[in-house]
Amino acid sequence: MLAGDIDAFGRLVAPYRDRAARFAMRMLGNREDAEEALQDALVRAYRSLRQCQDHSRFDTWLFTILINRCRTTGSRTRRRHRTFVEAESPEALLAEPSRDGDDEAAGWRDEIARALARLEPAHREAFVLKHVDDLSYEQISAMTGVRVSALKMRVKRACDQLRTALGEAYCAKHDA
Amino acid sequence: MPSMTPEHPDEMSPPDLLGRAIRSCREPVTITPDFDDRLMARLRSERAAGRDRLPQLPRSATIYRAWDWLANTRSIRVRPLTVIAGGAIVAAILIVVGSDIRGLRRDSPLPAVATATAAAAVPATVPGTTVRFVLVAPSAKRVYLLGDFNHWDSGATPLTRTAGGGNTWATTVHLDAGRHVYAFVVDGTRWVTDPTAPRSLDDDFGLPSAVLTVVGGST
Repeated sequence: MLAGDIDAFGRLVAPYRDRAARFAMRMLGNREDAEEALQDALVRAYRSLRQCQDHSRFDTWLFTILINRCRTTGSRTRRRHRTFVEAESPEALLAEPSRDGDDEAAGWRDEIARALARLEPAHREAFVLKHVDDLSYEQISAMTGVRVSALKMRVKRACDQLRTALGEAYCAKHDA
Repeated sequence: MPSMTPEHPDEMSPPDLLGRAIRSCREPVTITPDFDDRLMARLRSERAAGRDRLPQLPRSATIYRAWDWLANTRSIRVRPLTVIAGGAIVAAILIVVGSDIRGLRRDSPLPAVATATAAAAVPATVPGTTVRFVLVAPSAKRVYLLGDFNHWDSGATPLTRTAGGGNTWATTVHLDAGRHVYAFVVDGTRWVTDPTAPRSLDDDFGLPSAVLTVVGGST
């Protein structure tokens, strides 16, 4: 139905774009990589729209493509960092530019971004899908192909690591 | 017995940092203003190239016939002696290969520099304009980066040991798009080229240098 109709495709994906952009940003940590992964995912979705048999699960199908593109882009970025790493450390790259206004809030956003960057990619992925996108474990399992039990372990580890990292940052700030 | 309940709970326990992290991650992100225009342009080129129409393979296609053959059960008749002989050959191959691998690990340790930049498969063509140079030099006291971008000044761009005082030295440099030739100088006297990067054919100082090509940003 939508084959070749670009405007219709644009209307189809519009409700998911911001959520998809947020996921890509949390996974990859910098706007350039996130937008590249998101564009790639949308182009692939456009190419293979006929394969989406169940239109009621379009968001699941789209996010499955996006998850894979983020994995590919993230993997490529990590390989590049082994020899030629971009301007800052990966942790610093994950910090979005501080917004005007509350410096403390901006500082915490940076700490959170750094803590998120230190997670194993698989743990970060599970954490973001579960706690940021608020998906059920069954939905995440369908998107990622990972068993529910493994996903629960990954989310738990991510939460534990984030608590530890942010706890240390909190103590450092308040002991200073 | 004194009450165990704190009068001011917030003073006794840190705030819900994980909850704060989740709320922060849920905040919307900003997309560059031309994102939609770039996407539409890519989709138009997809349509122009006909890549929005999937090819429909006939059921008689080779790939379907191959899959049917592999996926269906079938009976195979073999002599027991054939099975025993085949197993012995496979076992012999595994023993030989295993010995070779163990021999390689014992007899050929990788040099320190090569292990550091072991991602030799990464091409020395990277997007972006800021590049981080990394060198493993466990015994070095000083490492400098020289290249056409700093006029081959041996004192202009020092590398620093990475966190933890390990064997790795690193620095970041802003590079314009284009071809760049560079090398490292260790302790002021030892010229070291990047083992993972392509070799420059025009050695500016009669010494080997590496080549890095920085391309413009993708559109």
